[in-house]
Amino acid sequence: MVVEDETLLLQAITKKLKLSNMDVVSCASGQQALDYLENLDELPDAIWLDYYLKDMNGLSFMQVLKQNPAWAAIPVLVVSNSASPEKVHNMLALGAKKYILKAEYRLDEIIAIIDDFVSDSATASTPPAATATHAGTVARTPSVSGTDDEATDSSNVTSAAKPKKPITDAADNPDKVV
Amino acid sequence: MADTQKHILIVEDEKALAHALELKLQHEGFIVTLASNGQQALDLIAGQTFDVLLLDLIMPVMDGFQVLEKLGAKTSQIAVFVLSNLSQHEDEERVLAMGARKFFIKSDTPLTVIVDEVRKA
Repeated sequence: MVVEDETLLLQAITKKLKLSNMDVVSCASGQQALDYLENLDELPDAIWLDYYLKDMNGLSFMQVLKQNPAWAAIPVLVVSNSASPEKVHNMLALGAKKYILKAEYRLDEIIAIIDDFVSDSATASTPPAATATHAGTVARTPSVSGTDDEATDSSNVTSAAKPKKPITDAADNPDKVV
Repeated sequence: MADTQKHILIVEDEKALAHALELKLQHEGFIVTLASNGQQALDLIAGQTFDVLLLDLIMPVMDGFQVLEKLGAKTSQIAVFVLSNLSQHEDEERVLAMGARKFFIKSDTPLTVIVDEVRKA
């Protein structure tokens, strides 16, 4: 499932994923994604989540996702134009599997990450205990004040000079149990 | 009831979404057929009668605009509802001018609303 409100980018991502032999459900808003999750016969193996959506931000989306035990175990890749430490921390604490900056990755590289998520889902079906663990992280959600303040985000400004690597992932976050 | 006899053709290349719509419409008693691209839809329309066409715009092989163009005057016999992630006003005007009855922006339209609109068609 791809959740991205820039429709041209959504189309490009969707096309690339389909060329990689993945079935895709494309969503241009957070509410659309939640509506589809409620109605899909089979849940997606992974979610590509743009942080800034026109109807909600990534944090709100993750909070809804994690409140539903059936959705809580779906691995989420957060793709954003900015990544303040607080924003990354909050998303990973809510259960996002990885958080990356758009500027640091080519589309091909992000597709490869999604491919890995999908492969992991295929090789390890999620036991009920794992779902409960994911859901449990909601209780430890930190304060989200200042999360959307892009002006304080220095990582975005210097991202081009940095080596290409994830901003962080769930394994780096001591608050997140994977 | 006449409603339950409506035959719906879903033209959508995203299989999971097409299947979700199919299940919801079947649950309402409609007869549902799926096509994953525009050409497949036209082939089906050539051989059988449909009451409602749920048409995605961006698809491989043949897109929704081309389907409307090929259908031409046939759009007066089939209620064509376009469903798209494209939200430009020009896209809406274009498909309505080509004979579509309604244009739904997917991100603003819950699946239940689509089912309601099909029921009313």
